Amino acid sequence: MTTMNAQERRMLVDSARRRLGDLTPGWSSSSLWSDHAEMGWLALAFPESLGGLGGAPPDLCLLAEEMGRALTPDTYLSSAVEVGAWLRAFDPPVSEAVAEALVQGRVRLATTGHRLGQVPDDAPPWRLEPDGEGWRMRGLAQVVLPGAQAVDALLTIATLEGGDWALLWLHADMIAAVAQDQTLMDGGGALRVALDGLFVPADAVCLRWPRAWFEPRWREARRARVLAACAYAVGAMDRAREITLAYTLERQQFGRAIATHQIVQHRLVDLQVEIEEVRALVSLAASARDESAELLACAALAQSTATARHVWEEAIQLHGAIGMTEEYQLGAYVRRLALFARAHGDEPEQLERVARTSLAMLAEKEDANV
Amino acid sequence: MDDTEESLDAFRDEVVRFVREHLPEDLRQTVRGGRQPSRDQLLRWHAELARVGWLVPHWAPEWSGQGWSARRLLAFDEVMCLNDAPELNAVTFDMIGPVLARYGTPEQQAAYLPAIASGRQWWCQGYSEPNAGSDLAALRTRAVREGDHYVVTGSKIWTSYAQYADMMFCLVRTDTEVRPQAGISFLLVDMRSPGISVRPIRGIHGWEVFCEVFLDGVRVPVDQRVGQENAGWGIAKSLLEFERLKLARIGENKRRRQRAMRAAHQSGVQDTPAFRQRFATLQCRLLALEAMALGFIDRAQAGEKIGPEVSMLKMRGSRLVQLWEELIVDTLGAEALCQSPEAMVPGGRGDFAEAASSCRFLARGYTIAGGSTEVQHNVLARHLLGGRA
Repeated sequence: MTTMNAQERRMLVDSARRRLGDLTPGWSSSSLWSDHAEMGWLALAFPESLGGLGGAPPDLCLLAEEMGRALTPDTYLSSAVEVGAWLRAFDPPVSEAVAEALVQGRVRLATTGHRLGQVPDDAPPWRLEPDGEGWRMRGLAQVVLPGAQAVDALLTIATLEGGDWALLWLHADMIAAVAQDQTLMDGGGALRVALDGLFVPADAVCLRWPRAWFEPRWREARRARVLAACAYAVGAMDRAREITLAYTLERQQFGRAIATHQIVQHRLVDLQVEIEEVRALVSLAASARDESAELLACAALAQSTATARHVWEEAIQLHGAIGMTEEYQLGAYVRRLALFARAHGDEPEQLERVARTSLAMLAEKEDANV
Repeated sequence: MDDTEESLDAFRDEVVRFVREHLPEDLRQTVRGGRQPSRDQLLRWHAELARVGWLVPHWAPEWSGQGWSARRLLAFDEVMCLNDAPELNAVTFDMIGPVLARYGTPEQQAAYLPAIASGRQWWCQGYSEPNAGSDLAALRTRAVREGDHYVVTGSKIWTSYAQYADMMFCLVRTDTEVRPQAGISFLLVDMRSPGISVRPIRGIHGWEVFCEVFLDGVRVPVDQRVGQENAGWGIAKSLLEFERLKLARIGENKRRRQRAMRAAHQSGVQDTPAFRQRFATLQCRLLALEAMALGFIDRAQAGEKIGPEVSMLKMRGSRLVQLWEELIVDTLGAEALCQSPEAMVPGGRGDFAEAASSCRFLARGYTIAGGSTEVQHNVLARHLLGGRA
């Protein structure tokens, strides 16, 4: 993994903002994907062993934040960040041709890690049972995978009898019968897959290791994607805030701009401060290496969720009725933020994870039980 | 200064050893119990710190400072808080010290900086008046020049720990004809001067923190003025620029976090969802605040000029302390409602549950003093709107 220096980071942000600004509006998913490849953003997400640039989480977060500002589809999170993190973490055998096609955007994968409505579990929700020449998947009935429509293959992890975990490479034709496109409440696309009961041929199992090998890698990959999703949300929040600020400066009532009212100003300040704080937390979490990484990632997700909710609610209220219309630019941000605020589990689950991770750590460090 | 995580960890260990060995046991008990430390207790602790050069580590080396990095200062502060060391008086160590180092005459510096750095001298801040709070420039305490003295008459209020103080730095009106900000001077006043009287105001928390200070014809030598006559407003404002990162109160927040965990164990609610949800909510906010403070530190170290947006730290940090205090009181339940009068005696000791309600009220001052949360919002709004509204 390589980390960019300050100048490279600035260049990444500048070029992304220019490019994504040009793209809006009217992109199509496939043209966007080849554009991402052309910009080198796919390479950034894939490991060096596959011909990518092996970008580190903080750099991917920077790019994700710009994508959030431009409200590009979730595909980059699911098919680049998450897939890249899995390929780096598990290092499965990938032919040179496939690696090249991945980086160039001609082949697209997704994982079952980036799925709607759940805090990632502590173990994969599927197990493999022997079945003739292959395996039968058992477990969670269905998952909805944002941004994963029309992928060439789906990566997933399942447990085996005896404690091993396996990485499965499910080609599109293996899941064709159990997969269907799904539209989301923000207008985005997703793939709905019913994996329970699926027959998996023996050669689809591309890795098999004891849980102790798999789990830490799996957690690290999960952090990379969750934090990129948070960074994306931070970008969307900040853009929604800017749109709101601009509107309050323009909108005249009682003969003056509504931004001249102190109550409006203070609420705009609160949004700015909250976004600044959560951005700092996401960025710190992305660069964490030590035992605090898991805690910071959990906290970043919980804080991003709470802030996203507050931002979209306030953005509508400060706009007035126009903020509720489909045709006005804010609406798309509101819907995306509302989706994000529930996409990674509900707040009580997220907070319990923070409590669990931190109480144990603090009790040990700070002698707090006395 | 080497600032790697490893060196900071080693440094933390060193500070932990020091504070466990040298913090006087009675003071440790007072702080742990959430009681008000007495002046005597604090001065003894100052002396311990001064002996090893850790009382004013943030000052320049020529005035006994250590030249530590901001991260090291943060680590120091955090270890102190987590090991029951008292909060040090910011007015003395973070405000007047740096002001004198920057604006004081060589004579003023020689007279005061070594005395402060040795831990012997306590200062208070004579700013607010009965009709000049957030609108500080409305202050009316008058200083009239008579030969080589000013004669000062008026009154100050909400002056924290004036009853402990040897000296007060004070804003006074030296010109009534100009716009309010342009007629203010900055004076150093000996609290033993004839004409000064102090009346401590007992708070709802039972502590005596705030005071009224009455000045009745107090003679202050002209050489005790900092800066030019009528230039006091600029100095008063610049004082807010020092140690701004401390305003996040990271260490003080961690002290409360630790106390909240103790409270949960004491009342046996550490496994209840209600406690865990609230704890986690505040923990997320604390981690975010800390991340933001570290971000400012990195930017400052990279040579970037940090603007008024640093007000965010004050705003969020002070509010968060209050939220922890609320959690502590709620977690202790009925125990936090029982409070003996002895719990209010400075230097007292005892279980912290008995003083939890006091600490909770005390923390309300954090969003009022040093620029209220509303004033911080105004500052940030001006910055955000950039003159557009």
